[in-house]
Amino acid sequence: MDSSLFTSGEELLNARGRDQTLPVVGEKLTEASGSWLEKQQVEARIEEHRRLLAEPKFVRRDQLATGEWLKESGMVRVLHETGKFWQYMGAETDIGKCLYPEEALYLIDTGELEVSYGDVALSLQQAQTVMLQDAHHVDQYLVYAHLSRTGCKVVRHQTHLVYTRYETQIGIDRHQVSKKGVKLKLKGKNKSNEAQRNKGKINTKNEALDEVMKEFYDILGPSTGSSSTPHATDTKKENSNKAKGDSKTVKEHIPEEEFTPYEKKRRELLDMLPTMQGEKIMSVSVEPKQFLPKNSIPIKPIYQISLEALNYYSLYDTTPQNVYNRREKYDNWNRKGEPWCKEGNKKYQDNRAHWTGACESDCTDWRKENAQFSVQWNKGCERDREKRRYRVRWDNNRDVKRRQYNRDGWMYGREQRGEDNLGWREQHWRHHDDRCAQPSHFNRQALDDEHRRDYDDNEHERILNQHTNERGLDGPEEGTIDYTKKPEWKTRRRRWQRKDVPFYPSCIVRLNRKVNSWKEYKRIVKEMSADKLLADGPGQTLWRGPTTPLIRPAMATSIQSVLSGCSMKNESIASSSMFNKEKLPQDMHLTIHYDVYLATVPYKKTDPGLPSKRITVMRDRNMPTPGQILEVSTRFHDDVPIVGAVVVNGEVRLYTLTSLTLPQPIDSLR
Amino acid sequence: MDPQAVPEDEHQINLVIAHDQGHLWNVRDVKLAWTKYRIVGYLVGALPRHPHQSTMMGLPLKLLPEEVTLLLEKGFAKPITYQEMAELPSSNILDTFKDLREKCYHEQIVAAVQQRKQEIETFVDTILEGKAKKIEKRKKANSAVVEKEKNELTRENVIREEMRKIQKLPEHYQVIEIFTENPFIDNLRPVAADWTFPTSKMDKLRYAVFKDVWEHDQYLTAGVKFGGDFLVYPGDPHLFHATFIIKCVEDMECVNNNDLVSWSRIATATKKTLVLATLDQYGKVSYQSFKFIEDEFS
Repeated sequence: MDSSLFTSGEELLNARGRDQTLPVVGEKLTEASGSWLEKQQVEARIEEHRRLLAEPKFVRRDQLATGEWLKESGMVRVLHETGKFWQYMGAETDIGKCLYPEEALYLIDTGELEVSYGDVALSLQQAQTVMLQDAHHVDQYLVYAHLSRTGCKVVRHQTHLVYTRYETQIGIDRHQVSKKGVKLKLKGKNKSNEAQRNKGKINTKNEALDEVMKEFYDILGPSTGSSSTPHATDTKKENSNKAKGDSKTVKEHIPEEEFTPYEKKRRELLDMLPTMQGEKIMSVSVEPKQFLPKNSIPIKPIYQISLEALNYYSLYDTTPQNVYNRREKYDNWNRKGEPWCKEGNKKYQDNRAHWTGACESDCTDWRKENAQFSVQWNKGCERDREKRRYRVRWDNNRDVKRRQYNRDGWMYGREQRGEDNLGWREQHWRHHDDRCAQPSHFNRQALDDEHRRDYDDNEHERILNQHTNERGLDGPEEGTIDYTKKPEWKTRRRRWQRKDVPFYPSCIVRLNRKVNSWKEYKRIVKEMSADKLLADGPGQTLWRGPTTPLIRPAMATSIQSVLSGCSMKNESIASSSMFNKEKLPQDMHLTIHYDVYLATVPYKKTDPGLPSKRITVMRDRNMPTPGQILEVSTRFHDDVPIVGAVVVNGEVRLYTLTSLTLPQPIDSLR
Repeated sequence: MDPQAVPEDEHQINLVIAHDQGHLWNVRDVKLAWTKYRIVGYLVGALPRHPHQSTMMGLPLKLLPEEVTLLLEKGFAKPITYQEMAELPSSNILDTFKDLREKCYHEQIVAAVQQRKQEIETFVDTILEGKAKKIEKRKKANSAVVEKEKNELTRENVIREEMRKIQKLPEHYQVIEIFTENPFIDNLRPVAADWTFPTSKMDKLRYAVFKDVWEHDQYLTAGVKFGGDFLVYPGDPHLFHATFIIKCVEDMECVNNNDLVSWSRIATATKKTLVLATLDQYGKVSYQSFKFIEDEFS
């Protein structure tokens, strides 16, 4: 065995005292004369350069971090950590601290880490062979090393730092989004490097994103707890920006993958959230799987439903508008003295969409059979236990299911109803289900004799008909909801829209959207009152309706404000570029590989903040096309510039891909 | 140098092909490429003495695809790859590694003792003076004992005493080497690697131009820094600036005038000459140089 490649111990020890400064390179010449002097100079410079290159890389053992290469996971597990590289490198996994291949390679190159594979320390040459997959991977590593050498902190692109426009608007990006305990799962990997790495990436990405969304939902309203005991709570819609949870651990460095169609749909759904209005938000947990339709797959465990919006838009709603005040309703009932007891009441005041409040613990026997249903009992009055609420479950397909109640208000047990038994309400609903050729009628056979006796066919028909409108569809009672007017729950909070209530300008006006300061609030109120003046003034035909002039009288203070009113907003450009985004094939979309934090920017793994730049590494020395540039520069809704890195024969060239906004030539218009 | 002669083994470069790229990992090969074969390449590693900077880089030396093809064509290098590097090390290599690490540690222990001894010998006079002063101070207390000590105060005794105090170099203080090239490469079996460059028409044009300029005894490197394909040096790039920027075009007639102006402005601003290279109808490389001259009458 030739050990000449091993530097002797003596040389290593002597090398500790070597000069660590860079030698000064002499001036270069522009013309060659071929003289002897020039030859001597060339030889001297080459020899000096050779000596520099031949110096060994060494480090004292106690200052050397060690790790081992995990081939299956494609990561380096850190065995002994020294130095400060962990502050911005690596990721927590279930088997310990691990480094990504490019990070480990860079640390080997700079002489800060020794990676062993099979108990033998890897040289840089072998490490590159083992850790890098192909030429593009090599290019990515070169870009990483080039940026790291200059002092930047380069991390893999973190998708959970990407926010939609709405999230930026409500300020969620200013707060901690990581969740404690989110770790890469590397234990027990048996598959190939690539498959495992991709699987791990996708899982963690979705998991992290789901956690982000979960936290977002928590901000909207308190969660209802575990899905095993679902119950609905009424919550006020809060746009609170309080950061939830305890101190977070290290976030995952999740490389960006192309968004799956599922992810796209989910983000579209999130964008729909601002359209929810109304006062009461109900957090509804999804039922256990055995109670759901066979093919339904709930996306999330808890759904947020605006009760008033639901009622307003639901065709099945039959609730009179004054029903929302439950207390009032009960008082009315009590006063009217119309218990829903079996003996007295022929009327069947069913099918009001009551939403349950907090689950009460005092329940009857049938509740033990159907633990998922919550019933609120009027305490102290046994006769009033007929007051029953329906539990509404709103699943993805917006199917409304009702539970079957008999006239006594007793819920039919599952044994009584039978597995396939549908309530009379449900079967009526199924008229509109295309899958059902004929509606299945209420299975009276499933009832026991006692209940069947009590069941009145006429009553059944009346009930059915009362919920059938002219078209024969299940709909609200006539006169129950007037869709031509704004419903009361929408106007309730808008005092100035009620004709009978005088408008007090001194009171605090409630705005629809969140404001960040008093100044902004006052500005908005001022604009609103100015709008009102315009709408009531002599030019009201101009100012009423959906189409209004671009420039308002308040803007006539300067040319700049007039121009800003005329200018195209960025959102419209971005949204028009959505067309281009869709036209550009998915496989042509540029992948963002790294987030870069400049050397002067403080970086913390637990709270990294927005990166200084995002880097995409081009393939095969190609430059990005205009379509790709447009797509990548409009993909993110923040001001982080996108930089394209092109590696040409080992040289890294960086090109900024972010569009510029040219200043408007105001002077030319004056 | 006769380009047709096949060089001897000691002048053969071991060109390691990995991920469709050629690198030189050995300093000997790098110097051979620079001095004998006029192949410059580009250093992409970290410099051992100062890794956290990008002005002066270290091994490995990455070669242009044209350079690799030229070396292979002329027979100056062998394209090799090592399959065993991707696998777990053999038991032979494992044992050798442990032995060599152990040996290195023991060598360091011995070297540490030698270094300390040299330090002592350098400072023995200073130590002697200090000890003598102490003895003088204690003379008044007990003159008999002090006289005895004074007689024993010699250079050899001082050196011997200081040497006795030397402790063995602890393990955590030993110096570990981190290798750039695989130190066990001589024990691995090299396998001939495939190299298919050039394949496309543009690649073939570029290689033809590269080879032609190289055969005119010029040095070439990548020209991406100045927007060209190659940079041509009159001598070794260690001592000389580039004089030409070569741009390979398929058809000289189809060159856009605006592009021509921008290329030539860049070249002139950096004190170089723009050269457009193409293949003529006979397959020979033809060149056309352009220089931007300010209008004397404006």
